[in-house]
Amino acid sequence: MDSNNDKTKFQTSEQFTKDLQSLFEPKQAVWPHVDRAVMHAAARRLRHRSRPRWKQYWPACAAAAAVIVAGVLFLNFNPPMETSAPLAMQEDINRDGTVDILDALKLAQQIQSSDSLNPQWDTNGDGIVNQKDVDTVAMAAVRMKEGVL
Amino acid sequence: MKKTALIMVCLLSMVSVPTARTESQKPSEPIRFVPLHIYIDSGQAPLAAYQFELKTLAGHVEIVGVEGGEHPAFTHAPYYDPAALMNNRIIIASYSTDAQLPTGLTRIATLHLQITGNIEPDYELELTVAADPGGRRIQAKITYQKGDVQ
Repeated sequence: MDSNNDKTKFQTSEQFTKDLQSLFEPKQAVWPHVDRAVMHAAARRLRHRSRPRWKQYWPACAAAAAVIVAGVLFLNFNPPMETSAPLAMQEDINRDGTVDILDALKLAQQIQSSDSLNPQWDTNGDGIVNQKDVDTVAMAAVRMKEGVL
Repeated sequence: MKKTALIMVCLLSMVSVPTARTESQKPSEPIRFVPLHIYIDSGQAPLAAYQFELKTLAGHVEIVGVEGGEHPAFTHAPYYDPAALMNNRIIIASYSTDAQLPTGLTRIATLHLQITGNIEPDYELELTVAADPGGRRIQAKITYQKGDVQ
């Protein structure tokens, strides 16, 4: 079938062509500026939709991560509390400026001899000066103050 | 929300993995238990109190136990920081208010050590203080002797 045959095949009457045009032609033309505005709005809307959702929550994620990291660092690297100065002085029974086993020896001897007991020697704070205070002083003497190797 | 949760889990695992890391022990390394006897020679002076520090300078050593000495005045377990048991440094101290106190060379304590590996450990002893019943510091010498492997 050649092109000439096609032309002859679809030749119609003038009236029929007009009828077809009137049937399928747009009733009202869309103005170009309206068309551009619609297309622009559609494109903007689609661009907004295509934005990854996690980007919307990025500030919240960053804040949560910062809080978690800070918490873990605090729990892992918080240095142990140093013995307070007043407590250290309280354990220095013989007042030589250091807490060692000699303080425990002196306190034990004082308790054993039932001499007048200084209330300040109540190193564990239970209201009584007894062997438990000696143990507290001795344990302070052997505590690894500089951290273990 | 799923992505947010996933990010949180990733961050948590990144942070927690290094802190949870522990030193793994090679299974092939031999382990032996050795007692280390500590002696103090206080000469003519009666020994009423002592305090010393032990460090291990070589080898992988853990202190697994501490027991008292040979003289009746020091048979009780000395004071030490339990936190130091898993490490290679420890301070040990004891006192006695008994009337009979040791003089001369006496074993004051025995430490039980767990040694991992074939390296023979070396030790450093420092006598912090030794005192007579009056609480006066006395001249004394501290030494150690390795016991038999158990």
